[in-house]
Amino acid sequence: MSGQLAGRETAGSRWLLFRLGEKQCALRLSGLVRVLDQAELFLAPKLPGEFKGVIYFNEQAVPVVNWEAFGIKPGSGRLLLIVEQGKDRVGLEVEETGKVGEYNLGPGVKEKGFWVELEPERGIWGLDQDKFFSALKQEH
Amino acid sequence: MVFEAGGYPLAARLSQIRKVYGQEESAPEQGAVDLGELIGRKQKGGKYFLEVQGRGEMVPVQVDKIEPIKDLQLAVWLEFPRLMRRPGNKMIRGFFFDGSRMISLIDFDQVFSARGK
Repeated sequence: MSGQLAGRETAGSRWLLFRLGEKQCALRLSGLVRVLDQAELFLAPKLPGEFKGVIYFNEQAVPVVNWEAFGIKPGSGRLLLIVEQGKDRVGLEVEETGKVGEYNLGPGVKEKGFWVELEPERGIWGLDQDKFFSALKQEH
Repeated sequence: MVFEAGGYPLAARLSQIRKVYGQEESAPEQGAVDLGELIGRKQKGGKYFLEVQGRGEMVPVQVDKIEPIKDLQLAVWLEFPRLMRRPGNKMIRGFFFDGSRMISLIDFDQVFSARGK
């Protein structure tokens, strides 16, 4: 599994650090579209549990992820990260963003669901976008 | 046509709606579909009825509120996000965003199809 992951990574990829509840996380910069500090969330009927609602962004309805559906306890979610994978976009509510870090993922990197361990000493986990978007397409 | 059911603002194409029954009119309540319940929230009264044509049948549909006929041409049409699509929400075709609300376009053919299952 780790070998597959390493195959997807390019050396020296840049990650944006952010805090999600109490969890220190990171997101590959290449997948980030925008950081919003204000976005009105609209509810809609029959949404899957993985989503809280949608926001209007750039003439698109962008679904906002319900972290609790993945067992993650969110905080206040002051910021919204718009993340893109192919034609799909989602909004991720996070507490705050931090610096940009450079991480090289090699073979043997620790994985947990759609997270990969970037910096064990500081407890920083990176979001594996491929796995994350796959998880969003499936019912939980 | 814009209306409300289950607490959500909804829209349906006029071509699917044959008649609107107001609060004072006696509507054909027998066999009525409670749209609020069907879309996942408890109905809050449902004093209005729409006579809807879908899948070749005329069905009374109970809703909470009817808004004056609106021209949604000025609203932005938004596709339903692929990531959120599930077999159970085929009845929501997409959204009209009018600047302040996200109005879900409901397809009654799919509503009745889901009801029949």
